Amino acid sequence: MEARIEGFLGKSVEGKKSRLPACQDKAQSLTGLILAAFMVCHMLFTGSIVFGKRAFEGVVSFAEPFGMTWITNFIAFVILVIFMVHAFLGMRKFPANYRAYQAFKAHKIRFGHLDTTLWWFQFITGFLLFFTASAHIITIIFSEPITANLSIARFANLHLFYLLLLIVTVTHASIGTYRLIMKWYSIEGSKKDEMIEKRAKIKKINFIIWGALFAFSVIADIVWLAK
Amino acid sequence: MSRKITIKAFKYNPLSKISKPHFNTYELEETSGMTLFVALNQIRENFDPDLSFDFVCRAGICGSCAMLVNGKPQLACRTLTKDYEDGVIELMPLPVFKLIKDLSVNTGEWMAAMNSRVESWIHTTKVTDISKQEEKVDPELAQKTFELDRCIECGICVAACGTAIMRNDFIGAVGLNRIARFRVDPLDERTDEDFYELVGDDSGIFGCMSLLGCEDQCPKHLPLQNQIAFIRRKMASVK
Ligand code: SF4
Ligand code: FES
Repeated sequence: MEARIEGFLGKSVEGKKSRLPACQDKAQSLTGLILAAFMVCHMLFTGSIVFGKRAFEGVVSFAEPFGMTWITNFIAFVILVIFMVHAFLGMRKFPANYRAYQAFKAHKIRFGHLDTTLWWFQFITGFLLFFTASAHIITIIFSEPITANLSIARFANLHLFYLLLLIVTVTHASIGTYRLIMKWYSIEGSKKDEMIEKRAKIKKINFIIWGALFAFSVIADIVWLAK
Repeated sequence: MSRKITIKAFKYNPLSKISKPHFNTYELEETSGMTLFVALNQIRENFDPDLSFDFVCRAGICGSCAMLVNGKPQLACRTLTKDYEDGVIELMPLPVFKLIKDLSVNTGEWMAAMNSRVESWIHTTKVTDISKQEEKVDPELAQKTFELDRCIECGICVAACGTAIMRNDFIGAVGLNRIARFRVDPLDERTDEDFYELVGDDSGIFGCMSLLGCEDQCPKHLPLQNQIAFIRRKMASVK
């Protein structure tokens, strides 16, 4: 009943404006944050191969104590759910139709403004992730217990796909964490120049961290291929 | 040393059946300290009496001369031609707003709708008695209110906003700044719940994607990122 009324009016039964947009906004940020944090751990985990098969399997057995290999499958399932929620909420921000798409694209080209262009990348990579990330996560949900050899085989098969997935994910996540800060954190300063400078600094640190993680993962990828 | 500059101005009259959108190119001699205000008036005087554009104060106060200068929305009266090294300057009208003709757009109509949406006036239950002295206001709060009240409604933040360009119901930084301005004003009695009624949706605060074109282009250097994030936190925590 209430859903029917709220959907019709955009107002709750008490005649107040629906609180759902606030919830959705918070949920979009929160799920994004969780996914970004997960991605950081993931990159560090798979990257442990750089230190040898033993190190990698050590990490795996740390994540799956007492041989509870289902933990990985279960976590993958949870991540898939969070991912789907995030994708659903993120979709609200997509251009609603071709006219909007065209208008934004032309604006981006004319304006030549980095933060605006970054959103464009986030939109494109977000769209690609619908397919690429879900394919990967679903594979893991149904996968056999992880061993170094299995991972090597899996990676060798599809290394181009994984490299693409890595680039797309890191692009999306790195812009996402920067935007998260811009959305929720007020940059203070006595002068506007000072605020803009601080923002540039935050941006730089954010992208350096993600850049380093990306470089580490690419090195790890090469090591994976060499095994 | 003076040089020649080239101004390419967008020309289109949406009310004319024969007018087609195009650019007209004008070459002029650059003078020292030349602003786009000077350049455009020279063009109108010497080359093209039909070119439409708006200026009132010529000093960055009235907000009527905003246009896209090489794609970036800014005040034409505060733009020096010498800042363009290659001497080629392309002018277009602000997007989002209704095009009147050439470089002239109707920001007034948009701003009036925005102001009525955010109910841009002091809401108070107190009745003022003009025979008595005014109530005292905390100077610090008054200062903060004045700071945010410096907006000149030039529309630059709207034209610089990818969200506003995609969705025409988006309230823009100017509207969100308005909310921040009345929220800090000690004379306004509205609560966060009241403000939520005005901007608590995807065409209001939750529609903002933090693209920050507004922050980077606002000619009055208003702290827009700072205020929008603040309003977002406040609106997100309304029960
Ligand atoms: S907030 Fe700044 S850019 Fe936006 S209308 Fe006001 S003065 Fe212009
Ligand atoms: S003419 Fe008034 S701001 Fe430019």
